[in-house]
Amino acid sequence: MRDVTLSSLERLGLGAEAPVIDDVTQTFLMDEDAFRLFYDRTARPVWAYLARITGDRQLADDLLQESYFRFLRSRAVLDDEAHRRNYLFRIATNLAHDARRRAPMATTSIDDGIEHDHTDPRSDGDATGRAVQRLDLSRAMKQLKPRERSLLWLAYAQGSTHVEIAQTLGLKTGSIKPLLFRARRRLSALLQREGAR
Amino acid sequence: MNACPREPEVVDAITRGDWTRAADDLRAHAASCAACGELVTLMQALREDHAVVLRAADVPAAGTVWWRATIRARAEAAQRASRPITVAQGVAGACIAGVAATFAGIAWRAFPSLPQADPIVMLALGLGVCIVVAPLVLVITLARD
Repeated sequence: MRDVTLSSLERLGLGAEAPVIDDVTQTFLMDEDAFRLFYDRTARPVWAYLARITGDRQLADDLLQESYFRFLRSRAVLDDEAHRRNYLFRIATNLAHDARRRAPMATTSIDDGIEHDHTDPRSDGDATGRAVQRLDLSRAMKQLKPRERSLLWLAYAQGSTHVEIAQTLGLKTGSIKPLLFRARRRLSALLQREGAR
Repeated sequence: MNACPREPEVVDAITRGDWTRAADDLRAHAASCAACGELVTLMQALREDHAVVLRAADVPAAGTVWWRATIRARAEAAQRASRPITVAQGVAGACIAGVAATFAGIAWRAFPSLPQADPIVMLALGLGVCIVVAPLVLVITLARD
């Protein structure tokens, strides 16, 4: 966890000067204690998902905050943790796709500032090979369509079921298998091309 | 290449943990099946990447996110609450302008030496002033907000 910089809202002074309105948290989807628990369980996976599908760390930071705000303000009826989680990922997906439509170029690459684990007992050569592999993967992922990136990340990186992926991406469960297969074929072809460079 | 019916088993084995501990027959199958072999390679790469990105995730504390959400919700609520006042200010401004125009018309008629117009024309002028002034007042008020 880290200290955060002031958002544009706070810089405008809205935080300090906003008039006292009746407790706005009454309109939130959950109370603070429940939110803290939910956030602690989901924030890192949501950030990782946003970072990988946008390819931009800074954007992932912004979208994470926005995702939780929209989640809290939603009026959806979510029975259990799994539904809440899928709904949050759906909000994050929509925000990421909207952001990409507005500004398709990444400003701070997800691979900037990621420290590779040099305490790994494996040899340096092995670690370098893995770093190169990750870079190839990152480049190949960027060339995929946003939906393909989401599908592959949810299915293979996070291990989500087809039902969960369908809920997150707003697709029919039956369409996940063929879409995933096609996305996998594309990623494989792109990785081969990256590896051949 | 076509999908293999054993792919769900491969996905399940890798998702549950270390692929090297998967059943021997499944690993032997993946070694000889192009689709499953490709799946193993991609899943291992993506899961390793997932672990690295998760470690790099530097998310704000839950309390900070909650605090920002309450501030923003409060600001939005305040903005919503002040909207009817803004509209009322605009309407009031337009009414004042209309009444002022009407009084100006009456005052004009009090001086017979000035060129006189039909009362209907004067009323139309008053309404015209309202129509012109109301949007102006609204724009100025909203810009101030």
